[in-house]
Amino acid sequence: MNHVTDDLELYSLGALTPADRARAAAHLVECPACREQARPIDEVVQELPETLPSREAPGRLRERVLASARADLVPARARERDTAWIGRLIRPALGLAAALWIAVGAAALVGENARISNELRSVTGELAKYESIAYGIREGGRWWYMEGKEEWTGSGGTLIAPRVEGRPPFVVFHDVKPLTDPKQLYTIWLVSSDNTWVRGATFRPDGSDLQAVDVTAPLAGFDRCAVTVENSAWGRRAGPIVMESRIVPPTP
Amino acid sequence: MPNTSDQSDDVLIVALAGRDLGALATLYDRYGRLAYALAYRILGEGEAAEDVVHDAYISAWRGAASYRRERGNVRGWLMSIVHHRAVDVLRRKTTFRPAPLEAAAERAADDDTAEAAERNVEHQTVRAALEGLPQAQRRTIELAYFGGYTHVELAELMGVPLGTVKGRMRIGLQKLRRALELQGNHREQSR
Repeated sequence: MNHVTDDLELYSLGALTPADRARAAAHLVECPACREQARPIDEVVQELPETLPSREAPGRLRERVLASARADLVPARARERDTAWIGRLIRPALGLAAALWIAVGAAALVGENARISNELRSVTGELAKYESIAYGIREGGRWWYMEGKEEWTGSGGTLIAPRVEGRPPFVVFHDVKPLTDPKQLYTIWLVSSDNTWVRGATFRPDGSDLQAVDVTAPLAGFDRCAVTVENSAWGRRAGPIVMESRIVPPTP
Repeated sequence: MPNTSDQSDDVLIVALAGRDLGALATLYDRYGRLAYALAYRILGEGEAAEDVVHDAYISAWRGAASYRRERGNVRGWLMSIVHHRAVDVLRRKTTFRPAPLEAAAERAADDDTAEAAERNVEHQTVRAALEGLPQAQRRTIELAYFGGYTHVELAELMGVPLGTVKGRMRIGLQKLRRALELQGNHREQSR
């Protein structure tokens, strides 16, 4: 076995030629002794980025990374159907204004119209600014109402898929039951036909009558939306379903 | 987005292997800026740096299960992915080679002075340790790591034998390690 101890600094700094690098990498996989010697060198080299002056990454890069990762979660067939949602997130205040606008129509289904209308009046000024967003939702948006179950009866949420370029789906909740345990979180899930659960958002009630929550996964490829109460902001679903709805018609 | 901001890197990497978007978002929030700074330093322009950081994070997203704690921490693992990708991109180009670190630092300081002032003690420690090396050793390490030069190219560029390039890297990294250990010990004692 030809050890690569003489080349470990070159390897770690990325200064080997591609062929030598491949040879060293293959050896390191097989040789614990060389790996042991490489580790302290790697630890020092991995500190080198810290010598750089800070540089703010463009804001769009974060969403681009997350969008690509989300796309990884969605079956390829679904990706072909709908990729237009990927784009810029609008500011939360604008989201709430748009949410309230559409919620008026959605809430009429559950008798919440008067109260929501009051809410709407309070943000009329903002709505005027974002008329184009509201127009886009009116013209093409779809929504599905999720009714609270059992002890969540009386609560509900409307999942809204605005057909406005760059605007992600969001849920407008009403009368969300407070969570008594500070560790608990409401979690919005999108569920595919093969029962894959993808976390779309996590939130705690903010005490307001209406609460808009952006969903960070695309709806394409999923046929159900559910809200659960979880004890963790990550990992698999473990908590009870407190509301849910089918979100796309069944395929004929 | 799930709130995973208080989770340790080791917990996040397990969640990442489980395809948890919240974990990915938190790792981006934690190290995206550093990753971008590294890619930008190597490539010298924003668009290519964005592509490299994007590809690196997606590579981490898809390959999180291959992460091994014994080979280094999560930050180091992410930065090594960014570094390899950026150097690969750089080597496909023939026209750009980055300036020495000092010049890059001056340029960036104008862009983000307030943020630079907030860099924590660890960052300052590493930088001070690197700047404390003899110039030949420091320059060799910088040109290799940030410049993407192979040792053969460096020998030619600097007009020294291959063995000298290797020696400068080895001694420089050893000194850097000792300096970091020493400064780390001083910090511990002063707490």
